[in-house]
Amino acid sequence: MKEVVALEHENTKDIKEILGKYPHEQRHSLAILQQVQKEYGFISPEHLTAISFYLRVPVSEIFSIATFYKALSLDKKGRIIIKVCDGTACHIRGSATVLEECKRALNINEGETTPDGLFSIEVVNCVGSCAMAPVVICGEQYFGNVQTGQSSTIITEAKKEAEAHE
Amino acid sequence: MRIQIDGIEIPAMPEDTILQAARREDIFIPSLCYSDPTEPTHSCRICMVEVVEGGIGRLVASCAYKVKDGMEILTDTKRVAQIRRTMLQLMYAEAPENPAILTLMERYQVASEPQFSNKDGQCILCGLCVQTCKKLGSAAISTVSRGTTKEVNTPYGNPAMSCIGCASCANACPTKCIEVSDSEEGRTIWNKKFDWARCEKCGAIVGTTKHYALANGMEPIICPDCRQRGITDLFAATLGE
Amino acid sequence: MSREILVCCGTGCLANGSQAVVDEFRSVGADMDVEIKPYIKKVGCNGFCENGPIVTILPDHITYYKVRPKDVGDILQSLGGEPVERLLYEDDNGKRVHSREENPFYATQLKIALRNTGIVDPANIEEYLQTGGYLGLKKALSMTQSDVIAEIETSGLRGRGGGGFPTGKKWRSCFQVESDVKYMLCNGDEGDPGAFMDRSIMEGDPHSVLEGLIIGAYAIGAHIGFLYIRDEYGLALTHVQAAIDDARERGYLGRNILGSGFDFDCEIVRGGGAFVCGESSALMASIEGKVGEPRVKYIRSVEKGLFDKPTVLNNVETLANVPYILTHGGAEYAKLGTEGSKGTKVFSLVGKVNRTGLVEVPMGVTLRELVFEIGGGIPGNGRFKAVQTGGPSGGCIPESLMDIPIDFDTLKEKGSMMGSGGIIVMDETTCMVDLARYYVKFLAGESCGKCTPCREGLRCMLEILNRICDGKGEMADLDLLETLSYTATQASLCELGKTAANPVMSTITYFRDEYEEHIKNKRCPAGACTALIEFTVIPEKCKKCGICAKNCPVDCISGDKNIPYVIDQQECIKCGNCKAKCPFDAIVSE
Repeated sequence: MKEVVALEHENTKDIKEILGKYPHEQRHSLAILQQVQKEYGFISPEHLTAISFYLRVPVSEIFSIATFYKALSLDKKGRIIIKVCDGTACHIRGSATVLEECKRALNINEGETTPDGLFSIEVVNCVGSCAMAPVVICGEQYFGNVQTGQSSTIITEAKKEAEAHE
Repeated sequence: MRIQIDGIEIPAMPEDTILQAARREDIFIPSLCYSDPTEPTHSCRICMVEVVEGGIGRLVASCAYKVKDGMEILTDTKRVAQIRRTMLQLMYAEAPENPAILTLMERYQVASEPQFSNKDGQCILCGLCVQTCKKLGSAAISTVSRGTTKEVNTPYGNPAMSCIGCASCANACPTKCIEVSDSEEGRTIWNKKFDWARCEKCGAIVGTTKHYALANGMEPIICPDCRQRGITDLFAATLGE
Repeated sequence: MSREILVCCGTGCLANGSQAVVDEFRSVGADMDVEIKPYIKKVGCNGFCENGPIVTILPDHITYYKVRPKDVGDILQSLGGEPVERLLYEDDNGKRVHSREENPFYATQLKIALRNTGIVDPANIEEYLQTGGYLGLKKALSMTQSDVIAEIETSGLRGRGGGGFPTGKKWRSCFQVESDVKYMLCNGDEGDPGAFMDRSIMEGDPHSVLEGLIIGAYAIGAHIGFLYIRDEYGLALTHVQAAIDDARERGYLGRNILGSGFDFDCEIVRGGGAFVCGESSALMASIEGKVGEPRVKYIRSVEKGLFDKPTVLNNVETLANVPYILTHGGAEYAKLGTEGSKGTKVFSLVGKVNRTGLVEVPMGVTLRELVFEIGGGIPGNGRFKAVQTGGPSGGCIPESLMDIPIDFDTLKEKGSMMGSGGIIVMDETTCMVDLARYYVKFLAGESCGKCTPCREGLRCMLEILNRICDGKGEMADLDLLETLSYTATQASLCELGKTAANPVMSTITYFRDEYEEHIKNKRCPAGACTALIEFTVIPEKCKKCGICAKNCPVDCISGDKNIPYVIDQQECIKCGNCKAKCPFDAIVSE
């Protein structure tokens, strides 16, 4: 039974552009989902349906893929994501303390987003900068050897910069 | 070819798995996630046995390992018994008091382990429901997330567009944990409501309307009994009394 | 004379601001006379990231560390004369050394896989060619496939990603399978926390990996290849893509490579943030556009792998060794290392160690040498406790075993494994129970969740370890951990589950007393498990400065300039800020 896909929904108006870059083959499912994640900051039900239709793969399987890979998110993340690395080197050099500081500075838990939609906190797997443990990534910027008190400064600076751009 | 299971010699076909060969000869090896018509997942691991090759014993999943001529298989070694025991305890924690698990626990004299905390629900994540639905062409359910938070569900837990309410998933489930709510009016399964397709002649339920439509398109709804009666009536009319 | 200034622009140094250093060099250098103006070059990871940004002056072989934009003027002025003392590395005798080779961190390293990182500009194929790049490929294409494989077999190269499977044997098996379509894959999904050698190679010398891949493809008879690269490695993804584009342009990829008649092309597949996708069959499922769930491997991937075709998957570091083996010969490579483990290995030495970073040494070097000589030992007043090798699939090695020569087999014998080469150094402030819990928690989230013994085994192990760390454990819990470990090891479907128990079992084996202390006395000897420790001010040492109170996020420390400060245990959230900030070491956690 054919499904009519509303490609004119606000979440999908540009998805045709993304889809059009790929052949109709299942092997591109992850790449497409990552592009959507990058463009929209999350993956919506409409996205899933559009991709399912395009690749001729059941929606349930696209949903399975979207929830399996942690680079993808069904929830909208904050504009700036604070990633606290919990790789082993960072862990033994105090990533737990760094995380607690970030949580206190933003008043949210890991995996949550601030009410104004500006920041999210995520605990991430080893980012490969182990010689500079503990590591925090604020947006695209890496901070190494993060000392006590430094995390709140990083966040305050980021807040100031974001507000300056508005 | 011939293989040996616990010292008993039995015939086997090429391309047989150990489990298939055993079942054909009514030799019992426990298994929860295997079903002939669907793609195997090899996920429950309760079917593990020991295969002796070149004098060395090796633990393999009997639902996956293919037989070779002269293969020696042992289903109840100390190693097998130990891992089976722990796995049944883990499955009990996933599906507390579930009859299918309890039956196996009784057979192998395994008591539950109170330190393995009980999970909510009765699903052991064998994946049979997902494979069955996929095989039938609906693929309405799938596994969601990964690791210890993995579960089976429809996308977002919402009524799935492609679900036809056939309940094949529930029939395939070894722990019978898929809720199917049948009433006079219809069926509810995976949060989706279905109407019954009733036989035009006698009013018997033949399945959900969606299931019937998928199988028979726009044809009038006739139950198997009435269809059969219709054929015999037709014969009688054509061939004369 | 023409000078080159190499500025490290690997992820680590970039994080420390090396781009600004490059910009400053280019801007100040622009005003210099053409005869003395140096060529500013961006190079890949030097592997000594804590001391970055790293800058090397050639041909003088002077290396500077922790260079900031404000140091650029001094460096440029010093060219041809005395080096800038304050930026040189101080060795263990307090002497300031000039060259990288005199730095005790680099002195005994033997770089094969890392031969070009930190030296060539990874974005410039010319530089790769100048160091002998693609000569290995040229040589391979002039040999038969079987002879190329024989060279690898002679070298004794074993997989560097963790499996340690003989590379030549893998190539030979796949070569022998008849099929029109075969695939050659590169595993760039380096997921072991604490390991970053593949990142460094992909960022700093992507062509070496590509060349190895093409040689491998030729050897087995594959015409299509994929490089599966971890989602989190942005710079590596960019550099490898650029390398592919350049190689194609020059005829090292594509149809009729170098006129040999051999066709091969490849593309990158980006990971989605799943550690399990480093497992070969899960990686292949991921390339196929499915969830990264491993499959049983009674039929090996060399016969039926990606899209059910014969496939070879090799790790980044393994492939980086291949061109070297072709140009220098397998026998030459086999002169290095031990009987069972030939060649060199890149280790990432991280954690509580003075000199952290990437170390490439011949197999057979002892752990003691690695940690204490190359690594310079434990910082501060710390006492060595153990190293963790092999990541979440490995185990810990205590002080008593530090003299074992490192190779694939020796580590396995001791209950650990080499894994991808991560060596995490720990001191007395690391709790071994918390470490086991950390790894189990990691695996519980990364497990694909398909099979019972891994998924449920890890769930229950984590609950038990949490209980023990919270002071609610019982001695019977240790037996349960052993039972669950045994089942996971014997019955799991893939290597993730099969090795998941290693961190637990090795810590119980070598540090059982710590577990018992948590259980019997509700005490954490390392002072790490927050449920079991209290932060207290030692009144005699307290100088009443109030810094602790100022930094307490919940304002639970009271005192003034006359009375020693006191922490309210009811309110304390055990963040450790006070202890970290106290200038007099007057606060303890125990």
